[in-house]
This record gives sequence, structure tokens and C-alpha cells, in this order.
Amino acid sequence: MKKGLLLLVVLLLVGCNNGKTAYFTANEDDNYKTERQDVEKIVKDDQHIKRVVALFTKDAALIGIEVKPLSKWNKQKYEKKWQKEMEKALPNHKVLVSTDLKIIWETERLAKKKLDDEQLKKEITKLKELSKEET
Amino acid sequence: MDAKQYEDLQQSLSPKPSILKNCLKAFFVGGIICTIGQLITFFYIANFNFTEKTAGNPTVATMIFISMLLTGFGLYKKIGQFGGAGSAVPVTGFGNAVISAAIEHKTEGFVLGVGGNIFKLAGSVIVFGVVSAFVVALVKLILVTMGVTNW
Amino acid sequence: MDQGVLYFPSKPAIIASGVVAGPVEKQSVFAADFDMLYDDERADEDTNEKGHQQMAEQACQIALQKAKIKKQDVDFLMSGDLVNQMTPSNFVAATLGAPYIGLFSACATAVSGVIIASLLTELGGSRYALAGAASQHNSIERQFRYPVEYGGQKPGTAQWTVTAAGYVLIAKGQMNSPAIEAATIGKVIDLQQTDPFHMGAAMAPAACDTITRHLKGRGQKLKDYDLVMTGDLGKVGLSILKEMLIKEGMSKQDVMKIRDGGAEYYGDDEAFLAGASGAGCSASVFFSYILKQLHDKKIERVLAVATGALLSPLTVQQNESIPCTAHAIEISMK
Repeated sequence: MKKGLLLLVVLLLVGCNNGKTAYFTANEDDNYKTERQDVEKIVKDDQHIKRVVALFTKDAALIGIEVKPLSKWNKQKYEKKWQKEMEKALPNHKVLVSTDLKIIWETERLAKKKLDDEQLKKEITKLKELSKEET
Repeated sequence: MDAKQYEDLQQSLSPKPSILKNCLKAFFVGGIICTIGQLITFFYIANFNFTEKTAGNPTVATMIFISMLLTGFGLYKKIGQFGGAGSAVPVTGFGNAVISAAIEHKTEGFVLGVGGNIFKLAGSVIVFGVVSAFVVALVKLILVTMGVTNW
Repeated sequence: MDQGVLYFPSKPAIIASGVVAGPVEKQSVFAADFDMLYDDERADEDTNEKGHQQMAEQACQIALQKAKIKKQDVDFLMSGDLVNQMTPSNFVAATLGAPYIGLFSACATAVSGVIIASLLTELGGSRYALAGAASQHNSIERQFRYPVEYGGQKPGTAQWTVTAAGYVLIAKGQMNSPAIEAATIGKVIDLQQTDPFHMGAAMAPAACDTITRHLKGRGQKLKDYDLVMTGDLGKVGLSILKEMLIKEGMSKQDVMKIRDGGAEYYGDDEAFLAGASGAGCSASVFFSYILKQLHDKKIERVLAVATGALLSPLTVQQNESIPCTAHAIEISMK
């Protein structure tokens, strides 16, 4: 009984410690500073966003937005809203905004990898296909 | 002694189930089963090409597989005696109902025994699930036709 | 004449007994008195029902061996069980080859068999009669409740069906054998109890009626017995019976001494909830523990009351009540 209680307390403490993760992660490329700033402006003060990851190429952008747990109820509605705002902010890019965990994780992984434009374009197309899957 | 008097006597001497304790036990057991399910979902999202949307399928399949192992080894009934609704409501409980019936009726052959009896317990879940889905869809059709909501 | 009470002036004797049980019953407090314990719930047979039959056959064989009687010399077999159309008992009768009528009193079947066998012996129509009953956990759970591996939560008043078989060989009255002096055949009592997970509450009124009628018919009081034991009322059912008997005006001191085979079967292990039940419960406890106590001269006169709930899975689904009965035998040893 005592051991179980101790284990529970330890697990709770571990679970509550979120650790410091960056709010905005994107692929490091000086060409896309303006695009990055445009996106940052939109997501900066949004109460529902936990963090953002983004991939930019010359004419495509893949933005993954992780929603805070309590706001997950309206995830689809926010996704549609952000999609519209991002498309307005980046008129020269084919934009995809996704709140799906898989897309976010993959986008983050690719952003950290530092690929060149050609490779990034291929990966972004793959991810866009993935996000359209129904089953 | 008549039936009513006896019922009173019987009630006064029979142990009552502690509803609060049972609710807490069900909460923990159900919670743990669902947490394990969530961990399995994360596993599939991280290591395979599943999105949040599509990871539901392999997760349910894995949970049912686990429930099959536990039922076959005689462990699920022990979890069930402790957790009550906490183990019966998640999909593992549905799996247990189907699998235990299948194990039980193997002695009557596969066609009439297993095939004929496998949904002995779970049959109502399927029937009423389909019927209520139909009713809800009908209601929504009426509302959409009247212009109250959209699809 | 008192309704249902029988007297046996020639005192038919129980000359041998055979009791076997399954692996779970190894934990029973009565296990030391059983003749044989199986390691496999199905007695290594293909189906649960075959295992059920095998155990009943083995119990009969052990009784015959102890009395050094061949199966050809058995005049009658009285047996029954809880499986539909009592097929395991039917197969045992086929193997044994003795004239047979199947009996059904649910968990009181063993005692009802002893009563009929004693009557046949009293009438001079039988030299050796085998009587008893058996139950097997898996076949009966499947018959009456849910598949064995189903994870449904049972309430604290539910009982565990034992895997056990108990048979006795009844012969003409003789010295140095426990004798059946009297018996009372149960009336079916139905006080509108409907919960199949609380059989104790359904059966207690029947036990109360039978005990009361037997004592009245015999002109006895509870204290005339060294031991009064019911078959499988379970822990809760036993306390209800005691309350009812006290309300009938019996002495509280004597009533509190009444014991129950099912309540004591697995000791205090909570995994077995309110205790043991099943046709094999009363059979295994009465035909091992009680007979041994009589042989060891620890007790001289005992009233063994087996209780039975006469329901079916269909009546439960149809929301019917559970009618119950209780048969009693008075065994003495001088």
C-alpha cells in the first residue's frame, strides 16, 4: 500500500514535468526569414497553441501546430481557421496546416535534419499525401 | 413469512456492494487500460506511417490481441472481478466476451459450436449498436432536411 | 402423519462412500477427507462433461471397492446432476449397468438419492443401492451463467460451483455403520427471490421449512443432534437461515451451532465469495466429513440438510423467481 502510493506520487511528478521545448521550430534557412516571421505573427499570441513546427521551400510550406490538451475539442475548427490565415499570409506558397501528431513529429524531424530544397520538396509531398489518408 | 417480509429480512443480512469503492476500482482499471491503448497509439504513430487519424485501427487490433491472450490464460476474469465496468466497457471487454464464448464452445465443433455461439454475449452490443446508429442517422437526416443543422 | 417425514425402522446403513474432487478443491478445508483429488479440472478428458462423468464414475468405483462389492451386485443407482437432461449421470449409469432412475433436485440431489435408496432398502427391494451426485465447475457455469473465461464481476453473495462427486452405498441395517433413521423430503418453497447470484437467500426458506417439519415430525429439538449441517447455503444464506429459525422460536444457542458445508468449504478465501455450491458440494462434504465424524465416534446423531435452487437459465432471463427445496436425512451411529 505504501509502496504503491510512493510510486503514484513519483509518476505524477514525472508526468507533470514538461521540460523546455522550443515554441517555434523551423528549417534553418536564411531565404525564408520573412515567411517565418509572417507565420510567427499569426501564432504568437494564440492561446490554443502549444508549439509550432514549420518547413519552408521555395513554393511550399508545411506547418504543424500542436494544440493544447484542453483545446483539442475544437481541433478541426482551429485547423481550418489557421489554414485560411496561413494561406493569406503566404500567397506564393502551397500551404498545408496540420494539427496531426504524426505530421508534427515528422515535420520537426525534417526541420532539424537540414535538407536541401529538392529533398525537402519530396518529403513535404509525402507528408501531404499521408495527411490525406482516411484509414 | 410472506415474500415482502422475507425480502426485508434477506436485505438486512446480505452484504451490500460498496458503490464508491467499485466506482474507484472501475475508474483505475478502465483508466489504465485506456492509457495502455494511448501508449500503443503513440508507438504506432512514432514507428510506422500512421497518422493520429489512421492509428486507431492498429491500436484496437493490438488491444484485442492482448485481451485474447489474457482471456486465454485465465487472467482477464481476475481483472474483471476487480475492475467490473472498468474492464468490461473498453474494447478489451468486448474482445473478452467474444473470445471466452469461442473458447467455451470449441467442444461442439467450429461451425455450430464456435461459429454459432461466438456472439452469444456480444451479439446484443452489435445489434443495438447498429440499431442506434440507424436511429441517430435518421434523426440527423430529419434535422438537416428541416434546415436546422448541416451535414 | 407429518407431511413429508419418513421413518426407517430397519435403519438402512451407509456401508461405504466414495468422494473425489478437482484441483481447485485441493484448497478445501475438507480435502483431507476426500478419497481422491484430480490434478486436471476435466480429469484429462476432452470435454468438461466427460470429465464430470469420469469423476462420478470414479466416486462410485471407490465406494464399491471399499465395500468389496462388484458392480453387477448393485441393485439400484440413484444419481443426478445439473447438466441438461443430466447426461453425465446417464453415462455413468450406462457404464455401471445398474437399474437407474435419474433424479433432479439441483444441489440437493445427492440426499434425495439417499432417501430413495433408503426407501428401496427399507421395502426389502434392494440389497445394495448406490446414491449420490456430482458437479463440475466449467460445465455448470456454462449451463447456468456465462462462459468460464468471461470477465463479469460477481457480487459478494455469489457462490463457487465445486468440481466434486460423492456417492454412498446403502445396504440393510448392520452394526458399525452409520444408519439412516429418518428423512424429510423437501417442499418447494418460493418467496419470490430472483437473484441467481444470491442463491443463499433463495434457498434459506426451504431449509427452514424442512428442518422445522423434520423436528416436529420426529418430536425432536435441535439440541437432540450433535451436528446439524446444511449443504450449500453459503455464508450469507446460513445467517439468513439462523435468523429465520430463531424467529420460529428455536433456542438461539442451538441455532448458532448450525453449520453449512458451502460456507466452510474454502475457508475464508475471498476469491470464493460467499462459499461453495453445486450438487457435488453437499455430496462431497456429507459423504466424507460427516461420515468420518460418525465413524470416529465424535458425533452420534446428525441432521444433514441439502438445499437446492430449482431454476434454469431461461427462468432467469424471463425474470421468474427461484423456487427452492431442501431434503434432510437423519444419520445416527451407535
